[in-house]
Amino acid sequence: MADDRNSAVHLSAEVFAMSLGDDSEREDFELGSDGVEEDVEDDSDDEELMVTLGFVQAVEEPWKMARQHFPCKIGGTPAWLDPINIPEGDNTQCGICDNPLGFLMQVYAPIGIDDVGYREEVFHRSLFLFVCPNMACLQQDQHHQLKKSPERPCRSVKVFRSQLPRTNRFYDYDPPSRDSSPATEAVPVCTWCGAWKATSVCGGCKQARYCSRVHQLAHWRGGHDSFCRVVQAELASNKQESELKFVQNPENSTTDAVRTMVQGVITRVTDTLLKSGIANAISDKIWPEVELIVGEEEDSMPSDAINTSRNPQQLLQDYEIRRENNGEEFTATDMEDVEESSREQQNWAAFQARLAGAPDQVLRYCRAQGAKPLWPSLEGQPKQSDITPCFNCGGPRIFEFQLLPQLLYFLQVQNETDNDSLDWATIAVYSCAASCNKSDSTCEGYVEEFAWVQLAVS
Amino acid sequence: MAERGGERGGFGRGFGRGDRGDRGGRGDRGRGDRRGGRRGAKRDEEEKWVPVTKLGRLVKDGKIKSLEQIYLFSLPIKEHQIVEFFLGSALKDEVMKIMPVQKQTRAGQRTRFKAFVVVGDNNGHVGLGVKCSKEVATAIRGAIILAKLSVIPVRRGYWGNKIGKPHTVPCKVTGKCGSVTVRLVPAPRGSGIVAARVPKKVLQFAGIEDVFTSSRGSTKTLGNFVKATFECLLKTYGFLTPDLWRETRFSKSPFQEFTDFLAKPHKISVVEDVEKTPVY
Repeated sequence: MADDRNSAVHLSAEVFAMSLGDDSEREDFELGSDGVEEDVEDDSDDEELMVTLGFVQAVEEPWKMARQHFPCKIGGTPAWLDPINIPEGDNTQCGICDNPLGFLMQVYAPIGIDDVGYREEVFHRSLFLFVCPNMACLQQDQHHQLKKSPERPCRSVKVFRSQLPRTNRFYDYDPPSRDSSPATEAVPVCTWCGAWKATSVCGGCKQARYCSRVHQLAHWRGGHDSFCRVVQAELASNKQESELKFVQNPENSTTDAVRTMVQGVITRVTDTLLKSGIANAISDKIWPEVELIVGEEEDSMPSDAINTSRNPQQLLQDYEIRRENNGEEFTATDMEDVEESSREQQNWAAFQARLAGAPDQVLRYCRAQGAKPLWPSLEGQPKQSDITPCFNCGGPRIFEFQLLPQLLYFLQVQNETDNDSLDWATIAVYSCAASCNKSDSTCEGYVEEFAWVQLAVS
Repeated sequence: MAERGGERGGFGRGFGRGDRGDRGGRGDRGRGDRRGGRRGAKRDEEEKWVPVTKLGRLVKDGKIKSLEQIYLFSLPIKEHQIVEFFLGSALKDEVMKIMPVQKQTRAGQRTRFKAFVVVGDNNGHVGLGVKCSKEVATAIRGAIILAKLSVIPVRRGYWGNKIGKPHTVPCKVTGKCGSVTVRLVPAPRGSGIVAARVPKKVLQFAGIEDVFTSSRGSTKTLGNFVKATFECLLKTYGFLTPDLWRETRFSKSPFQEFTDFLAKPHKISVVEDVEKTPVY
């Protein structure tokens, strides 16, 4: 009985059927391969863990980008979860060039009951990712992310996490309705970037606020210089007059029209900030705002993943037909030593194959014990010791999500300039496993997390 | 507790599995399904391509005019869609061989399949890909992609009179891999490809009609023959023949080219035509 089964197995192996061996590897009997060949495709870990994907979609309903709706978005201005205790000072700046960081994306990522680090009091949870738009800083950052000795290495990529309990002073207990506005006001943010807390005010008009000198200069050159004087004059003369006065005087109509327009703009800007929960930014350097949609990863490979080539099945059939008609064209000895690609290439091919199911994905989220990011290249991967422990509580960090280079395509990052445009292979974000609070007493505030950047190997 | 604003209350719209009593699962499932539905429908493959590398983004934008521009600067091509973008339907592919390879494991033998695929457009581009995998279809698919990534430009010339189209290698070239050296020698029309089976296939797909080959070295390792042949073909473009004696006007790398273009918007920059196929 047993013999029959064994011989059946051998026979079937010869007729192109798969044998059901297990994965223990000893000697490698394969001809022509270089050393022990590991199957780069066998990612048994990742097969079991469910990965959630993020896709880019144009903003269809702008009200959803407000902070009381807990958005997941890319670009634009950050919808701070905790609107009062926004990061400030050094945290807002690139560690290398000291310019304020640009807001790249944010995710609303609560922790489920079955997940690592679940606690009753952590209901809302968001992560915010900031990147310095200067590519030179990103390249320098590669050295800094390896350093572990200083308390906080100076990075050009920073991630902040914020969490709140369900009953908090900023938001209602229940899910908000469409027209709702946030319960409390936000701290005023910089008029230029709309991201960071405004620490200084324009000396001229006292209306525009800035987070840093850099942005004040940028706004001044970007149009505020002409506006500022008009606003100054308007405010000086407007002490007794009512707000929106429309004078039908032909000689003064233009100046009055400008005044009312300016006044209207100022009041509108401050109103939207307070009432809707969305901050506006004037800068044109910020990334375009898009929404981040959640999707599931499909397991199966698409059947027609290849463009101009015919179906593998068709090719196989052609091959079989040729074999039947003409006999075997190439023998095994002919093909031996035709080398397979290097391990780096194989890893890249496996990476692309994994993306093939959803080629427009930009984010991969998997926060679970043993989750690993999908690395595009073999070199530049962090070791376990490279992932620093949490700055706040000292506990270990686990992988949470990673950004893929397709995002650069959707953001229409200008590619033309030589080394100036942002380019990365992946950015992997590691967060505190326990999802600790900023301080013992309250949940509020932002904790800085760790981002590992892998640059594209050229 | 009524959920106002539909399922988009913001609670649970995010990425974590923050299941709470209010909502039954993720509010975005509708969108997730829609994505799945879209994927099932037939779509234009090229539209679907989202480039992952900088070169890919440049190609998708249309900033690079031809594959030759990429070869000129030896930029590594990491996305097979780039090759498809330029060569398109002219690229033919063929499975050369499917070989089962066996690995000894504790519980018997583990069989995998090694697929060899050659792609070429019979007009100066050829590539060879090898992939080993548990299933035949996966191996073939992987081999096709690898073959496209390894596409090289092949220069052709004449043996004697320059009439008709180029049909053979432009000169005697030799390539070495391991201990094997392969020498390609121009042949008159009608000679056909005089070579061993595998290099013959490769040369056919490259568009070479007549060539004499001669090999030296440990001929048992005929496999290295293929790599040596590839080296040879690559060298065809490195050989300076009289028709290339005209001084080369160096052009800028695609990455650098547009720096100057953007720096001076008022001047119209002249994009160097890099596709200088030899003029006979």
